[in-house]
Amino acid sequence: MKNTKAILFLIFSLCPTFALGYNLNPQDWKVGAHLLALHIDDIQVDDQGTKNGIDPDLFLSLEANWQLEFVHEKLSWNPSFGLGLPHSGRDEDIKRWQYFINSPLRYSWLPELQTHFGPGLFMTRLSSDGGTAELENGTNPSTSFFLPQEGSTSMNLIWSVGGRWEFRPNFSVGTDLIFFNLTESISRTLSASLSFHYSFGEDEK
Amino acid sequence: MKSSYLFLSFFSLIFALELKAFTFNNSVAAAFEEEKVTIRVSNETCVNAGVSNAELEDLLRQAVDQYWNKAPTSSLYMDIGAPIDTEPEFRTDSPCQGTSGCEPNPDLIVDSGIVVVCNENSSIFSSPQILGVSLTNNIQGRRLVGSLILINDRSDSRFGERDRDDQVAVLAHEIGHAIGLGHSPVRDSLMFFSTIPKRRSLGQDDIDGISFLYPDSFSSSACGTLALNPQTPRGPSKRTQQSPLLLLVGLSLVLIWNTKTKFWPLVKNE
Repeated sequence: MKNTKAILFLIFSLCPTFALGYNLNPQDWKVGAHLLALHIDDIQVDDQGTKNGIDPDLFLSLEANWQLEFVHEKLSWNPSFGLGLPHSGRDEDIKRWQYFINSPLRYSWLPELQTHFGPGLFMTRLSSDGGTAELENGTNPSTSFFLPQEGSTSMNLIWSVGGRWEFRPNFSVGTDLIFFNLTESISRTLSASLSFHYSFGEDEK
Repeated sequence: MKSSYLFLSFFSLIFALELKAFTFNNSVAAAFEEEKVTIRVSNETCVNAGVSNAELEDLLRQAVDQYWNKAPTSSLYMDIGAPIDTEPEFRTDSPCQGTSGCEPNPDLIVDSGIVVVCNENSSIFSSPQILGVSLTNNIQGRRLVGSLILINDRSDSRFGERDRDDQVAVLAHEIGHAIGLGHSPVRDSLMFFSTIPKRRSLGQDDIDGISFLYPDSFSSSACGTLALNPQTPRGPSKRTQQSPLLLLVGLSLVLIWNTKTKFWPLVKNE
């Protein structure tokens, strides 16, 4: 299964790199802000069984655009890198870095309207300085538990599908549905994002 | 095996402290090397816990599928294996010996995976409120080899009084200990050290904890352009993960190779 996922990812992400040979310079750069709701309705948030629902985190992204004219004039490759903010949540002792690399192919239906689909990698890095915590433990009023030392990075293959609408020149809004573990029936989760982008160049649509 | 690596976990009613983080139950953050860990129920029959062995297996199956196997950023997968024959001591003896801390009882060492047994030892189940006990009793270096989960089977056990959802949550909590996690001070976490009114899924602390010990890794051995980065914190672990930087390096190498060789027939370098 892992190899299947790898092959699928490579087909989608490495093949477009050949497009770079067509033109090394991307036709456009974009910066974006994403409200990304991870793992919708999969995480318990209180002692009454309530789930997290849509609880978005802020991500900032940088995106490039290469037209794949040698394949189809309306097709483009739009790799992006995004970084989640802030780097720590309610756990003051745990540092959390979340970032993603996406590699979608985008099709322009209209000059202002595009849809995209493709794979990506979503990384979650957790780290802490170690030490111990005194916590209650059954009949023992206080037991030393160990906090994580060093760091650990989890890397998930994700698949995203979404659309973009350029509502005015250089400004666009987008939505995405993002699937974690798409091929795993038990651990599959759905995430969603609403994003705003500013374009530094003029798209060759 | 150092006693400081070991730890017993109980259920009782206590309250949160200020700290908010997942913890481990051993100082080396030991974890199973295998990405698939099998849980097996002892053939010793439960007498007072109110569940048959078949029912216990069913509860455990739900516990792993409703909780730990759903963690989206963890590679660990647990399933329920065939029942296992255990010595009578697993039913009667304490998993600990010694007067301070918990030196594992050598008669109750688990050779591999997780073993679940009903137990009637009065020293370990000193209160009917204690529903289950877990012990990571076979740690080699940073590798967790075997863990033991004991279900309170004393005559005053209250395990059977719980409804099914609670029983599943109790077992899921003990499984959390069995895979290396300690308690969490956050009430919405499964690893909170007390039962809560409604437990239905993992909390963020639980997901962080299992993801730290068993991070999901995107294996790309099918592609020569992507190098694998052995995960250093886990020592000899078989689990590997890649740095996204290496992905970028791989993409760059393809780009350079492509532009140098003009492999792509339609390439028109400007």
